[in-house]
Amino acid sequence: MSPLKPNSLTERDLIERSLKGDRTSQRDLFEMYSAKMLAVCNRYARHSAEAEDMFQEGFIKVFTNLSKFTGEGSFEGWIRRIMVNTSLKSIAKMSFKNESIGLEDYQEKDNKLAPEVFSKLSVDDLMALVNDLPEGYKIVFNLFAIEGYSHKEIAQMLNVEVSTSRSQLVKARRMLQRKIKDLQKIAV
Amino acid sequence: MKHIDKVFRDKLYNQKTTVPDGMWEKIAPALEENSGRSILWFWFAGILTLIIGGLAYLFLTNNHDANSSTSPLAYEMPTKEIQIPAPAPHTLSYSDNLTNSSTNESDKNKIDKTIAVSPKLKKNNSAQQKNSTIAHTKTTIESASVEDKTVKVNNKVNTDDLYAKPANLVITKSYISNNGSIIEKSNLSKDTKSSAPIYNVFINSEGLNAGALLRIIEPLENIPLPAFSTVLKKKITL
Repeated sequence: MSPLKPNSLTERDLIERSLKGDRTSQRDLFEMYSAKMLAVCNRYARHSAEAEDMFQEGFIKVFTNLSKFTGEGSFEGWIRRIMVNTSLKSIAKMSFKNESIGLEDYQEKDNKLAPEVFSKLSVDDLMALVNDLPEGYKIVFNLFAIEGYSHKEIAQMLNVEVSTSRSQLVKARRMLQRKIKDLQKIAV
Repeated sequence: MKHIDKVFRDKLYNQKTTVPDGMWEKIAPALEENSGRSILWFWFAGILTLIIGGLAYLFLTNNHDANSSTSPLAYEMPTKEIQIPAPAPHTLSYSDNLTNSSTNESDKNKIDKTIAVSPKLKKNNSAQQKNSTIAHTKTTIESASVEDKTVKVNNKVNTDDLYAKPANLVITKSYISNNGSIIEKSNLSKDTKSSAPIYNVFINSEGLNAGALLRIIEPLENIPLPAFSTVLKKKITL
């Protein structure tokens, strides 16, 4: 459900006004989603300055392409997709290796971290863990685990093989589990 | 979805981050710029369309003038109605000439050729003769006029006087003897009475010694005449 602004204009109203070039409505829309979208960019960027650049570029695309929003699906989902794509473009220089995956990659041992271990982790801890991942792992983990894209979609977005996306995800999970275990040891 | 994925998704999907001050102020000018650029493009596209439209108009107008000065026949004229009068006396004299000339050697050759491309006539000569005779005993006409004198002609290029003249349509009936020569009705003898009829369709322009002659050796009702309207076809079926 889209949040309502204090001036009681609905999201649809704001979109329609923004399409007519109303800067106030555009700003209202920006304020409605800016905090969430900056968090999205933060998960892909290497540092906060890069995240802000992605964020700005993403919002400019949102408003310049606003007429392309058909109303199918949520507006937030549409903005989020633009943010993710913009972030991916800005880090496109990063090389993805179409590495072949050995069987050992699929014989993933979920080290069965106890649920209470996760509950002790704050949002910032989790963000820090994700941001510590190598670039390739981080992007695939973000896209698959958090954004909910399929491996097929990820492969198309990153121009890599589906097997590469799977491989990166498996490695990302392993690394996260290892780090969480390490945190657990430190805490003990 | 793995448990670890779910933990991260639940906590990070809707995560919010404090947006530094002045972010909107960095975005708004870019939107202004894009908007200005759009307006500029709009005007540019409008002016370009006008220029192209103007040039196209000038080009077409000049082309039109050039065509009209060099070739008046290039214009498509509206459909005209032409009165086709009853056959004039002088067209009958043409029929007489036809009779005389049909005995010429060259005409004989032409008829031979015509018969050659009509195997049906050769094979069923006697049957054909019989059928034709029965079919046309009522209306053995020397010349036929078109009663419905109004025929629509799509006069595409006819600004020329030649085509503005009324057209004459004359249909005469002749017979083919066993040896292939043409015999006019007046010259029919007992021996040649059962010969197959042929039809001479002559179309000319009044007052001009020009026209087209079409000899038809099949009964008219068997022949599609695409050049004539259905009504006209009925009228000339003897």
